[in-house]
Amino acid sequence: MTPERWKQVENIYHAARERDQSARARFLDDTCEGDDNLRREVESLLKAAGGRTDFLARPALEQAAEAMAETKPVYAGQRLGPYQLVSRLGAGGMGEVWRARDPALRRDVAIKVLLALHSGEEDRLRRFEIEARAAGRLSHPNLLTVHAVGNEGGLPYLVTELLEGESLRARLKRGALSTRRTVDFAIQIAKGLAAAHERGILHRDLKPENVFITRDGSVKILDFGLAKFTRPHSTPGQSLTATGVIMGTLGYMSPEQALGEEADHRSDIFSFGAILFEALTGRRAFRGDSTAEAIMAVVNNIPPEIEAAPASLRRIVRRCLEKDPLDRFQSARDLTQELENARQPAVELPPRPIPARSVSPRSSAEDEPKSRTGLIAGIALAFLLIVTIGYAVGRFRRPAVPVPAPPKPGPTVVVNQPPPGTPPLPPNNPVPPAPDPGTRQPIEVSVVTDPPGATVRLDEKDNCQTPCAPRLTPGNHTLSLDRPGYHIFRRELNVTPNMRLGTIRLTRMGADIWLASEPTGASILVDGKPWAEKTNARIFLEPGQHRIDLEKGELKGSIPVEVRDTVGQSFRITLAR
Amino acid sequence: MTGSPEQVTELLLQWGDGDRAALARLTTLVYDELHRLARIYMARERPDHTLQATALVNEAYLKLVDTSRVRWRNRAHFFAMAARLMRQVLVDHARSRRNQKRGGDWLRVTLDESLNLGRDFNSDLLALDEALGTLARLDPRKSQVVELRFFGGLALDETAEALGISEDTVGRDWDSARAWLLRELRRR
Repeated sequence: MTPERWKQVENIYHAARERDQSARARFLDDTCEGDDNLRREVESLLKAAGGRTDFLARPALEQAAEAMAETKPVYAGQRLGPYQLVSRLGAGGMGEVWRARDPALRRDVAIKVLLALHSGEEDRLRRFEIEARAAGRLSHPNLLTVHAVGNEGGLPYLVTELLEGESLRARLKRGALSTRRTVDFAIQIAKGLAAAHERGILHRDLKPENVFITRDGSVKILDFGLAKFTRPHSTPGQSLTATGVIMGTLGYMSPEQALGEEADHRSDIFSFGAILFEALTGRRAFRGDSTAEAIMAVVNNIPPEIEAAPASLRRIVRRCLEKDPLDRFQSARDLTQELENARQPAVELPPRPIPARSVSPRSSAEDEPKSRTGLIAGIALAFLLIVTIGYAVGRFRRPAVPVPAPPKPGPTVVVNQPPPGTPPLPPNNPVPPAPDPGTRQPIEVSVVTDPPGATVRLDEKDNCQTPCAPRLTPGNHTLSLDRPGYHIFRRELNVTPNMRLGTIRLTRMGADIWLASEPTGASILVDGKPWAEKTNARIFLEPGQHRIDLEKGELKGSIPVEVRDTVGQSFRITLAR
Repeated sequence: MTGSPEQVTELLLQWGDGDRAALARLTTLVYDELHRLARIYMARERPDHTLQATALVNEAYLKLVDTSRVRWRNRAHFFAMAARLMRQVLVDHARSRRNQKRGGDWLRVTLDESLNLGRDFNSDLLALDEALGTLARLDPRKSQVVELRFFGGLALDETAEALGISEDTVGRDWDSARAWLLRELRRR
């Protein structure tokens, strides 16, 4: 098309736009005078203009930011608090896991960015932080160490130690474990569970994905206390796998969890039993081709005996998987004890290389529910429907009661081995050096904060007010800094003679509030106190109820604002007399 | 955003004088701002209050340009630069996203009114960029209007001021340019 032709098309287009829909055909007949091409051009433009599409209606930056929010909210090089993201290690139901650099301690950490927590969920967010801090207080060799919980621009994240190794899920993909290994791992898992349960913290989503085996063979349980903060998160094109995803988690849930009932620590013991079964056999204890079948399997089926395992171990598995919590081990400590007892004979047995499938004489039948007649199957199905509906209703009607953790899509890979081809890792995740008896003298560690005046708490005991220099024995300590109005800063320290902490910047509680006014240039009063800025401006306010008054000459405007920690808001206020 | 509006303004003017290093710095600044906005959207899901979203974006633009400082300079030129910058950064970003996602192989996506267009914003943006190039050859002023409005985030009156034409003319240009572009995108 030539510019001249376009001019002609455009003029007719505008003229037609000014006319009613009904008069347009007639107008085009008259104006185009048999030039069909011209008429088609104008008509196609009119059609495009009449569409409801809003692609051009909102600024590109806004739409790009939204699109980004849906796809990739964090990026390499980005800072989250003091940490700098280095590379993405994996993604799961809760968000993404990144390798990150902790510049203060010059080490690498793992950061889990929780993308699954969204707006309107400030309560959930607060609870998440409380739970994560509670889990972070757990210090045990078989639990993933939580270094810190943070929030950057409304994006919550969890800083943990960086592990190298693989998840039990990845390990099980290569087949069952030997009895000896299984017992070794099981004891470690049970010890971790016992430590958490004794502090009143439940896992709620224990499964092979959440059990990590480090390179030196020690076992760490991941994501303690976080299960209820996960939620299914379907990506377009994945709807087909949604059912399979639910089942993956259902296979480890206790019957009471699957039925939406209240679950306690004995529910974790059930999940533990399902993992133990799978480690020994290479097969899942409970399966089903649909959500309904999977629930039914957990509620009704009894997994087959593991014939190749020693009797003591078989007994342990059976007892963990009892349908009634009262029939299971009543504590993870008892369970640990039984496993320790079982260890002796297990050591004498040779590793069992035969895959489970060939061991069980009735292997294919064992996967089926133990329903023997069509009638029973029918009754069971009716029961199941009720159960499933009850489960759904329970989930929606009792939001206050902890409900079973929604499943995660795929494995929650927390930390994985680097992809092949990546250079070997720098030695930045060192095992704390064994304290040299010659350097056991306490070391002065200077703690300086910006602003000063924070209470220094070392190993959960109040120590001094910053700036100060507490004396610490070499080795691991927990430092936390608490100053009213600021986020609590918490960090694991490995105290060495030459260690320097640098100035720790505390982040204020509160949020940015953007104020735009019509007209602009209004002075701002917050709770009656004047601010230096004039609109349009961004101000930082502490959490709580505030009243914002804007004034420009005789024009005034006023709004109440409820500020929530880290939740930015923006307002546009039209001033009036 | 580490750059103050003054810095950004200065960088824009330098870029206008052909300084490539200034562009690299500006790109970083726009990216930072984009990521910051994205995080806010993440945290609040989708801002359901359009006014709030608009205020946020306005805030982002305010941070990028110190309009009071350019008042005495060539204002029209300045806004054109800012809009051009935004277009360049966003289109580059969309292109890199597409390459990541599809291994460099781009399927053109038909605009469908029944779909949520935001979902495939990056593809739409690349198609728009191309169509806008065609429009610039046909009717340069209209492509400028679109650049200022859509990429530069300017209102009708601001666009009129930047281009030195009446608001009515901008309104008409915007209307027909939009129809033309949407039709082009739909044809693909």
